[in-house]
Amino acid sequence: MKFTLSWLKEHLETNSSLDEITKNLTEIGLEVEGIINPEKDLEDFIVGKILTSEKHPNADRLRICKVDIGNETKEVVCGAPNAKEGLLTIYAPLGSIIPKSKMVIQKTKIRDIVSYGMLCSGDELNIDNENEGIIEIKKAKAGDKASKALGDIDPIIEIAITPNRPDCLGVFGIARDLAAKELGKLKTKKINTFKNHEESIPVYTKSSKNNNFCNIFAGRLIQGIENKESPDWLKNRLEKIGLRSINAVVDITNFLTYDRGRPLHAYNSDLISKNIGARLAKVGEKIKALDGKEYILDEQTCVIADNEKALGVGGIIGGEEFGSELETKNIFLESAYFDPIHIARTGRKLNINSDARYRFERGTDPNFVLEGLDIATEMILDICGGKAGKTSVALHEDFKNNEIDFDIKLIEKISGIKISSKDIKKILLSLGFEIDKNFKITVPSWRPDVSLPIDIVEEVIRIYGLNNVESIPLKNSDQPSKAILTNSQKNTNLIRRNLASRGLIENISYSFVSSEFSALSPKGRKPIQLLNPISEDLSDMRTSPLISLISNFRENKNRGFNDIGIYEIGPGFNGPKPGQQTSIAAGLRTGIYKSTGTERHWQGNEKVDVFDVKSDVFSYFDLINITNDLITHAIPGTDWYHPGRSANIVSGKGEVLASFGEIHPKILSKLNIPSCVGFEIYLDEMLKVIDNQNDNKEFTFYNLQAVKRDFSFDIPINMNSSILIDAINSCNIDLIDDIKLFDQFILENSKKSLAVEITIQPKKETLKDNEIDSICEKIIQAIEKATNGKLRSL
Amino acid sequence: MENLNSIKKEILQKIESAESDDNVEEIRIRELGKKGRITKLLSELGKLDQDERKKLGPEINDLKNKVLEKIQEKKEFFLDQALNKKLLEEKIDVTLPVKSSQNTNGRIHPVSQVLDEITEIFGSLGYEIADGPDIETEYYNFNALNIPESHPARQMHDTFYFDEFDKDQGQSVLRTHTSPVQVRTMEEGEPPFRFISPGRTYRCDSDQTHTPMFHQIEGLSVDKETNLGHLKWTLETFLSSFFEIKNTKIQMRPSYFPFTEPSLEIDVLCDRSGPILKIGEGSDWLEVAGAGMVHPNVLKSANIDPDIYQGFAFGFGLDRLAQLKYGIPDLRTFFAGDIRWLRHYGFSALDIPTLSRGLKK
Repeated sequence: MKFTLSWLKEHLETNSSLDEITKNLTEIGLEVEGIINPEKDLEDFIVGKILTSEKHPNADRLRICKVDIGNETKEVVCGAPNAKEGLLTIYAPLGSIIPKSKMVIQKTKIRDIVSYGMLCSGDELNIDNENEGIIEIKKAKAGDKASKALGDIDPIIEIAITPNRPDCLGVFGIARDLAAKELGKLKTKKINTFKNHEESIPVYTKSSKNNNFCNIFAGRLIQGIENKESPDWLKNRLEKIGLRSINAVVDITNFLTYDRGRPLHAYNSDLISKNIGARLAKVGEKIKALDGKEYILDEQTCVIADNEKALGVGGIIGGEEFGSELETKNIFLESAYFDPIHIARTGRKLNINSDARYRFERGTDPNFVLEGLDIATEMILDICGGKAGKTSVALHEDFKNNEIDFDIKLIEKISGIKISSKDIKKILLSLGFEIDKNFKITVPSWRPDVSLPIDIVEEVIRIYGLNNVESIPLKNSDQPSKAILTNSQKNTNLIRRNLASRGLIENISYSFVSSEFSALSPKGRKPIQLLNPISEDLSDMRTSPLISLISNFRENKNRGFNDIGIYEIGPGFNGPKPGQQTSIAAGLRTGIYKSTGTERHWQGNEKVDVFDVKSDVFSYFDLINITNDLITHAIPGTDWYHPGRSANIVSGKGEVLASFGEIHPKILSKLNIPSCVGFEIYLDEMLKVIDNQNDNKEFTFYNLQAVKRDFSFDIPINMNSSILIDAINSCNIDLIDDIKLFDQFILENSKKSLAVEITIQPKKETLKDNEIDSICEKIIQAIEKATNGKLRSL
Repeated sequence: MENLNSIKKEILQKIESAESDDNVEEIRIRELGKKGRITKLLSELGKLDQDERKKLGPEINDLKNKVLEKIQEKKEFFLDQALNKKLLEEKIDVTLPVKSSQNTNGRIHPVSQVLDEITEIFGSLGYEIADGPDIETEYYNFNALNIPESHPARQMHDTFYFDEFDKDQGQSVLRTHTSPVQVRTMEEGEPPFRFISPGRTYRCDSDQTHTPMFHQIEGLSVDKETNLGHLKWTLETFLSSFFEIKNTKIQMRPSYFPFTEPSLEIDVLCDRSGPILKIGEGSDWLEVAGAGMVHPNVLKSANIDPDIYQGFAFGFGLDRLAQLKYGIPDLRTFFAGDIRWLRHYGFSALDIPTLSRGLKK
């Protein structure tokens, strides 16, 4: 919402400075977003007279001007086509700051010629939107202050209006708020009504309590007008805030929109058959609107229509054919109250943003419908002449003001500050509230946002001043007697720091990816699409952060980074309902970014393999004491891995805890990326197996020395080593303390040899040779049976 | 006598000028071997009379000891020399670089790091951490937060929608803020409440300061006595700890959020005069948070009696806090996954923020 200071002063009698006004606006919740103050901005600028203007020797479009600035002459290089001899314009001296661009003027060489300053356009000075040439000044002399010579130095203030304050979408409402803040006195003018005129037109509204769209529809005929260009004051007022002047009638309706937050519409009444009002559109009814587009309406849309046709979309936009043109002689001036919910819905559906919609959907003042009509009528008669007809009104329901039983204790209870009942009353009264002796408050009709006692609290303290709120320490009644983080949060933190300590770099990526990438998802994970993605390449919810990592790898590779190790902990989405998401820690290693070394090195480097990512997963398992006997490998792993080089890790209860593997070669070739390895740890599943009993376990000393034995077995080459380990575990020998597979080599006859070291820990007494032999024998038999293999050596 | 002295001098001289261990050994055999000169002198001692023996005996023995000592010394010299030569041959180039250490290669994303910092502070104030789903229903994202359908605030949210509709809960959306977590968490528990809810949030908006996904962190404190003064204290305390500045000054301005009443914007004192924005000094204000007293309708949505309980809520942009604290200019770079950016702005795994160690790098 933009307005000028002089406009504000039409409604507010004040001696306050611009600074005071803007500071207070922000303090009462009307946040100032920008101030254009020519007097301040143009302080350094001077009127200059172009004495001579010659073509620049090295540039066709530039001219070298000698400019008289009162006490001296400056040479300035200028590109404006109108930089002619004798012209009075504005000169920006060295060191001055151009208001629009904030550029500091410096001595500059332009194609070998030094320019001492600049000649400015109205646009650069924030005076008007003219940027074709430099500004031309009439009544002034060289050396005059620019702000004085320009005459019009009305500051422009731009404020942000929150959606709850439709009353401040008109300058009058802003003045009322400032008056309540005691920055001046609100000026109220008597509004003339129009009585003794005969001419009228019947109006209607089909709105009803059950189907509410237009509670009040009013208007009047104004005949015999002479529509014309708006007078300068009106044109100027609108143009200053960025509106285009169209003609007097249209400008007056726009003026009321910004002055009083009261949108109006003026129809050419010669094109209207009898009976005008608000009804719902017929299905498929079409209208060509003022924005030049044709809209097809449905039965939920309110239209303004006469007996035959729709003339506009109610409260949103008028029809193109029926508006007021310069030649229009007779108009029907409409003023109505449209239902905010209805307007919001229709506006969104038709995707039309208009000043009218903006106000109606936030809520206009229902008690100002007729007054607004009268003010506009008077202005039209003043400017265009004509004869005003009788006001016609159709309404389905009288407006009732909100009433609130208020207990003033609530103010201190909520804000912590004491405000006297006298001050409370003063603030509320100045905002237009009425208060009876029992503190029953009647809310003014322009404040649809106020309906509860808490809303009254807000009104009082925002005007009283939030800077009066003092800090009060919050008692920490509940000093943490347990961990602040949940197990899930602790677990996530542990994985995060563990992966980073293993050389991986944490990524945070968008939760959405392109359909090209979401299509990589393995079977069983169906990607879901957004209905309104922000762009085509962010259309699908990712099923795993691993997808984002693969995508990131491709981008980094295109920048020349082939060896990276990245991870992300975040959601993967499996469906469009809340809760259909899982938390996944995913990682990706590429090139030579191994767990043991990540770059080319004189001691050698190798390409990443499955065991780099397996160790990323298992290092975490080690941290949380998930030992090998609690999990199994399910082979192959998820679909997006190489089927021969991947696995899922499954808990005893069948929960899939993690997966790892080489990314499937088909994916690599589709995305044109080199071989890489990845993993996923499924955090929600992990939670089920983490032992959160932090019981302290006692350490047991064994004084007897452990016995180590190495075995080597020849087994079929395709057999997994886990079968061998499982076989040892299945012997259930509780003296076995540790099993380490420490060697593998491939034999010629489709066999391989695996070597394991077994640690036997005697607990009570030293083992005799035959006892050790018997344990070994058991192990050998179990392995040979399970693997169909043969002991190679002991 | 002169004879013995000159022998001693001659032998020691010879040992001294020996060129190798073998040389020394030759001298030892020549002088002290079975037929050696000194051996001979010793054996001839017996032939002398008592007086002469008494006199010469110690002198010859002394000669013998001195020679032995010298031989020993020289032999050690040659051993050392040989070892040193061997060691020099074993020299390697220790200036070669080592493999980079994994725990310094890895990085924690600045958003994660800042979240850990914030958790430390609010944890010390008794706040728990509440999580909620990224995909929400219109009910939790809007209605339960006092944003009914057609409320203009719904448009300001630029919501992402899914083709999924529940007749009670409305359409599925990507949450536009972390506020739904407030309602979900309060529904599941009993007051008083004190928690923060961080997480991913989504709006259909993109430019230098907006990305379609970003992070918010909200705080909620609901109790019988919790007013704007407590809110002010909490935010001042948080900002002081987070930016590690004494007595952070904040300014509260009235604003509007449907789920709080009164609603406020929070500004923190800052200095924009230099090339780097400084928080906590100067005379400018920087908007850092939205806040307010929880709207009674929101408490009602969560089955809490607003006549008994009241509370405050506040929300920060998590990414923005990271930007302010660590001077990261462009929000879009946070989620672009550029490995160079992550290396530069990321944190080591061992930089674990705690209140005792401090919350900076």
